[in-house]
Amino acid sequence: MSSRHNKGGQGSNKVSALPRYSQNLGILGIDGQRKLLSCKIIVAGLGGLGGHVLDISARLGIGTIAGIDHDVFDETNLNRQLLSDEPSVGQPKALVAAAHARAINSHINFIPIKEKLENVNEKLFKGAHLVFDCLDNPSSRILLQNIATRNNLPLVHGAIGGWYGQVAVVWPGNNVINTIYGSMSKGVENKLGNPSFTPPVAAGIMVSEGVKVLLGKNVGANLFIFFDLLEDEFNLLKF
Amino acid sequence: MVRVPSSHGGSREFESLPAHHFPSQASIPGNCFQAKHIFQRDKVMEEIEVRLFATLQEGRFKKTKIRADEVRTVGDILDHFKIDPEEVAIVFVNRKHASLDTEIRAGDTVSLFPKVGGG
Repeated sequence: MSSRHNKGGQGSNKVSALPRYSQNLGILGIDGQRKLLSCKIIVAGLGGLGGHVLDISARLGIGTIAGIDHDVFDETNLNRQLLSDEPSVGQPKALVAAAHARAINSHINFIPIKEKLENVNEKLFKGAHLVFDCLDNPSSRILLQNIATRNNLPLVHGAIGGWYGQVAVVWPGNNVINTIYGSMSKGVENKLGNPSFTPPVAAGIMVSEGVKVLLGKNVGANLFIFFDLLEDEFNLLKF
Repeated sequence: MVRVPSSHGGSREFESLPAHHFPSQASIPGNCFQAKHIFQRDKVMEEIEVRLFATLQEGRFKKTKIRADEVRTVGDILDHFKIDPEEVAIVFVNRKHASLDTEIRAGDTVSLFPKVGGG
């Protein structure tokens, strides 16, 4: 694994010469791009949100990405999950994600973890800088927040349902995820489903917030963003 | 544009307030313009704004106001509008994370969000 880590490091030394990142530098600068290439993130869940978060993060040049998902693609994923296509139905999401990441950016290191979150060795989180919550069930989301807290890692949470989505930036010590998902009630997605256009909106916001955390532009500010694509509303609350 | 003198020496604007905030002129002693708007300011400050998001709006409202003396906590607001607490996953009061037990006061804004959990 260490040699693959070094691959990201070599890329970071030549970042200004890499055309693939030229369109990033306007907002990141060379130092910011180097910083992202040196970062490690965890993407928990590789479905609707996680597929887009992985894609966006890999194209951005985040140096090491660990993607966790125990599941395989099925036909109900095809309407919205970026990593799914007809040939991938029945294939493990983590392995399809690895092929996708390798195909779009061979300069970064992707670590596929085909396990349920509760079975993942917590050592994976050591040395990480940020965790993305792209999960789809309350108990896993709460477990992930607890792991992030134990490892003193900031968490970017995302959730979608129908026309609606939410993103939260949660710093260690805040337990908002437990508050949201502590009850047994069902989310709006159980009634409204998940169309194709909501996941990329949420994922784009998630990664933009994550980049601000990684670059030190957000240090300690807990944020909650709720968007309503039916009413074209975007709400930001700090807590 | 209606500007109302404030105790801080500035003024407050009430242009965007809905008509029901303004008492009829006949109800104001002496029909004094200045007295009318002092009365309006006090009335506004006795209210709490309630904002519902996404599916919580269905069959209800997007934004409304409730008299502050009718409710003490966020939970009282849910009772008042017959909203099942199971429908509400997130509460903010004045842009700060809160709970159903949070006490609310005149001038507060309460925002209620449903549970969204898909990934």
